[in-house]
Amino acid sequence: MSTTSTLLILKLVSEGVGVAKEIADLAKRVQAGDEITDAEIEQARKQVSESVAKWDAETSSDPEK
Amino acid sequence: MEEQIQQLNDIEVMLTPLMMVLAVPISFAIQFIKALANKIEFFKAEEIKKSFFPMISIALTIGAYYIAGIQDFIIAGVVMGLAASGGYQAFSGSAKLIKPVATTAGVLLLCAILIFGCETFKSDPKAELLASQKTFSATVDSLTILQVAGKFSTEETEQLTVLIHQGQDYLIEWEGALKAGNTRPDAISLFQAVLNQLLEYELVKGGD
Repeated sequence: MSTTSTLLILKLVSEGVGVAKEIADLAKRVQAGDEITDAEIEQARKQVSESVAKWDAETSSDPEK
Repeated sequence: MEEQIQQLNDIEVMLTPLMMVLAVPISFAIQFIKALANKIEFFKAEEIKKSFFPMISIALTIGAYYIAGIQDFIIAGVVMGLAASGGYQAFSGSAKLIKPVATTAGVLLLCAILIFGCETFKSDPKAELLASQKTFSATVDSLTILQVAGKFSTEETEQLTVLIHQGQDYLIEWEGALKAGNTRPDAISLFQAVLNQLLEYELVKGGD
């Protein structure tokens, strides 16, 4: 396996494992009766915007893509 | 009898990262078994498929959770086993996708299944939205990584761009509806459909 492929796999796996832990932690908080704040939702919305902006930047920077 | 039903209703399954991680290989194992079984005439009948695969999935999950020492392995195995058994179409015909990268898409897929199928999240609309936002961000980030690696054609990139923006719009609509007091807006099912499509792309390309 090439270094590029290995790096690609590592990046993807860390992305998947990271969010799985966040979702599991969130589920635990809900079960414990913790309230989700508006600030958390706003923060997550910003994260969504950043992710979408990153996608747009990657797909529009190279006209051949 | 009523008391027993009430006891069943009161059962809560504590979701752990280990449960989610174990459910991914189980999902792939089930799809592999499905792919093999489709070559046998007996298993081609819909009635057989509907009952056989969930049973196998539940049995595998209960067994794996027992070996892993997960508490409440029976009820957790039934819940996760059903989720992994093919209630999700994205795995269909994907036996060839059993490769390490596809596991990431599998984890994200499990997150989506849990958010939209788990009572824990349904009981808290804000948590359901927050979990969806986080899963969507991770999905878009993963797709961006694959895009940088040159995994998508021009046409696929265009389709993905449309889907990604639709997903973002539905999340904003969902948040607005929640603030207005509507806990089950149409945007939820629309968002779910978009997320499913994005994850299917990732499953296919992650396994290439």
